[in-house]
Amino acid sequence: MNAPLVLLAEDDEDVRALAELVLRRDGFEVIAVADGDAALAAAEARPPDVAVLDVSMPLMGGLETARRLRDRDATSGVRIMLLTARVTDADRERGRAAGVDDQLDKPFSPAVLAERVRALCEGGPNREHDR
Amino acid sequence: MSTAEEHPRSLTRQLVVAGVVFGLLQIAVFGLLIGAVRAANDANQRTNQVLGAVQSVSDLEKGVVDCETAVRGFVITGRDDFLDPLVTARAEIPDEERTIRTEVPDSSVSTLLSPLFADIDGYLHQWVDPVVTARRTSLTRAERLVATGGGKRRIDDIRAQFAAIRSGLRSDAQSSRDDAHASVRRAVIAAVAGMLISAVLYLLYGFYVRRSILIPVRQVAATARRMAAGDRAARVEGADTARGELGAMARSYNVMADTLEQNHDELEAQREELSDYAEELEAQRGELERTIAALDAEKTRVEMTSAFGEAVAAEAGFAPLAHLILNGVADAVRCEAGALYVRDARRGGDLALATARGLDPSHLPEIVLPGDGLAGRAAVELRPVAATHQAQSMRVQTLTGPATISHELHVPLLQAGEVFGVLSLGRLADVPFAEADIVLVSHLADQSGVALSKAVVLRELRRRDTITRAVLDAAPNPIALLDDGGHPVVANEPMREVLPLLRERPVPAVADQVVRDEIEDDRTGRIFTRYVARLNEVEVGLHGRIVVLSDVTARREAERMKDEFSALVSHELRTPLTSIIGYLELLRDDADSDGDDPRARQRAQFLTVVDRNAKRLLRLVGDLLFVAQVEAGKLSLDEGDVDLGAVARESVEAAAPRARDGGVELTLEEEDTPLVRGDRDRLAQALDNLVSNAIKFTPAGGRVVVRLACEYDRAVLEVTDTGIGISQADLEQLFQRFFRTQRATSAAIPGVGLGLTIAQAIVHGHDGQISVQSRDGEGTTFRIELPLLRAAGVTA
Repeated sequence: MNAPLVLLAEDDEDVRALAELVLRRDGFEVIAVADGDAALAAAEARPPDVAVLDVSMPLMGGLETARRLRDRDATSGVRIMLLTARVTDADRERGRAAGVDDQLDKPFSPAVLAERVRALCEGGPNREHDR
Repeated sequence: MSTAEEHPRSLTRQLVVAGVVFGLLQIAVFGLLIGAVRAANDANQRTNQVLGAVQSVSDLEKGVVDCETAVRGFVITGRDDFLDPLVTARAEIPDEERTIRTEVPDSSVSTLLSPLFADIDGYLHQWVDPVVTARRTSLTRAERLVATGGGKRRIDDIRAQFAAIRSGLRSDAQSSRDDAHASVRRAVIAAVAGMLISAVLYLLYGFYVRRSILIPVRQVAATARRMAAGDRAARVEGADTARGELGAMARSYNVMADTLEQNHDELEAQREELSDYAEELEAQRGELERTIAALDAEKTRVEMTSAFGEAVAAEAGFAPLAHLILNGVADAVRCEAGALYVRDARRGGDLALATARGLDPSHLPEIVLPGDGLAGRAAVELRPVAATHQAQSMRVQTLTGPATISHELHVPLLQAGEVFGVLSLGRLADVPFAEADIVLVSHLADQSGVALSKAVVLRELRRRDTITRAVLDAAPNPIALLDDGGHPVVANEPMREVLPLLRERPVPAVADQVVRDEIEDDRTGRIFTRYVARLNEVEVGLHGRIVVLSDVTARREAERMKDEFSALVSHELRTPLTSIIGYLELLRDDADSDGDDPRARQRAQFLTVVDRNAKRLLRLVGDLLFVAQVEAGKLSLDEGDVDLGAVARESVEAAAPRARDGGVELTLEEEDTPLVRGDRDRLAQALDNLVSNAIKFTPAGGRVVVRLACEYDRAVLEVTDTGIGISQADLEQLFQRFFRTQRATSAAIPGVGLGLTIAQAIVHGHDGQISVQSRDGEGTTFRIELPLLRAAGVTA
């Protein structure tokens, strides 16, 4: 069985490298991009199992990227995790409205990231939707 | 007189009775006349009838004779044409007999008819017919028959009967004629007698009228003529005994005459008196002329007063009015000096100097106190006060130098019974104030009262209006008063710039409470908080809304920038922290697997310190953002059912390492508590802050107890320590953000002073309460109470 594919969109190079490293270590195949457009292009080319999107990226943020992924037939079923710099409680609401499956506040523990992505991958209980 | 009054209508009654008697008499006479004439008429008719009967009887007799003649002729000649008269007569006889029966009156004559008619019948059948028959047979037989003389006898008998009847009828006619004559005679007698009696009665009536009416009336008329001729003693004689209406008239006339005579006497007496008066009047005329001269003087004074009143009423300004009043009054009573004091709101309602005449204002008292001095006395006693000074005793400073006042007069100005001013006047000349002067001054003071009090009110109104305007215009906030139609009644300077905005954003209707909303001016981009309050002062007819705007543009901009800044800071701080903390975790994972290498262990220890501080930095960023969020009113709770027991256990568990490191004993006392409704993470954050504080401020060897209990309808979380405590002064500011106690700062205990602020904000957000009790040096207890009413009803 092939390793699950994770699409990682994060504009900060260091954070992107950290997340990529941790996910690869955990056995995922990772495509890492730096912005929303690239993420959409990559997802179009090869729909991932899970998309991990940073909420604040230049030009197109994680929320907009998530909405577009949902709107496209090829990627509408992709599990989406949002990486947030949670400023206000309203931010979490916005993520939920955009249809993401999980949200992880920055800074995050690498172990927790890997664990939550795995959970999404296996289609396990979805915290955001169950709430 | 009494009799007459009892029968005042006796004359009328007598006249009516006389009239009735006349009437009845006339009717009787006419009745008699008509009766007699009718009787005569009847008798005449009867006579005519009888005469008719006589004619008929004669006709019948002639017929019978004709028959005899015809028969004889026939016998002699034997010719039938001699029988024609016989046939004609025989045909007429029955009719004639019937006529006679109707015409002959019912009397002795009528009894004679039947035998007559029978004889005629017998004659015709027993004589005529046989003779005619015999003749037709033979002349001889006929002559024999005739020779018997039967016919002649029969005829003679019949004619005798006719004669008897005619005689009877003539006798009847005669008697009827006699009756008629008798009746005519009676009628003539009745007419003559009636006329005689009437004539007598008219004579009597005339006599009666003359006696009862004409004579008394003539008496009254004669008396009246006598009176008219000057005989005032003339009276109607015998009036007292006279009866009826004329008696009453005569008496009334006498009474009138009495009254007239009496009046005449009185008039005569009055005339004499009047002539006496006339002389007196003549005497008074001279006096009147003198009075008129005095009145002219008074008129001049009244005109002056009136002109004064008009001038006063025409002046509305206070200062010119005061000047006008003082000088007008002083001129009227020839005073060189004077001062006017009027109630002044600016001086707390004291009577203050308004204007002066002939005196130097700087040498006059600025106010008059009630009861103080003569002016004060006038103000208290509400009446004019006059005084005379001995020579040289009252020196004043006039505008031209010192002078001496000989006489002074103080008059209060009243309005509705209240003093609102005092008019003080002084005379240099030694002429005392006459009573008339005082009356005049009082009068003029009364006249000026209304105008002056109006001017005072007006001055006060202007003063207040000026203050109000100045205050309103000085206020930075736009302020307006709108009428019920939404049109501005008053608008201050700042409001005038933004009035169009009020028209575009209709001001909401308000009841009792102040309504607040926010409006934005699209042209300028300014944002206002708008406060609207209802104004309803019925007594002064003010209805409407007061609108106050507060420009919050700058504040909104600052808030927006702060939000943006917070988001930026959050992101920009968290992103590097994400790398730091993430890579640290990876490093520590690797270090743990490095085994017993002492250098590796030391490296792991260093990494732990770096990790702890990175997390502290992270927490600080979180706390700062949280406080900013709360201040912006953007605290939102992710609500669910919260098991406070679990929260407390986790909190104690998480803090255990720090407690152990600090040598503090950390324990949990927990009762079963129902779930509460709330944000689990936030409640945990609040408790963590309290526990963390307790450990920080408790020296080694101390204790920290976390207690969870249920009290009535509230869940209670208490964190008690045996630490250094908090001073009373610090307690009051404890929950302010960035506040740190003196002791915390001096002991270099780490922290930025946000923990309690955050805990309080969270607890308040849950409708709960947070409180603190502390004794300096003995320890502190923080207590959180959360309402169980929000509980889901499930026991943990």
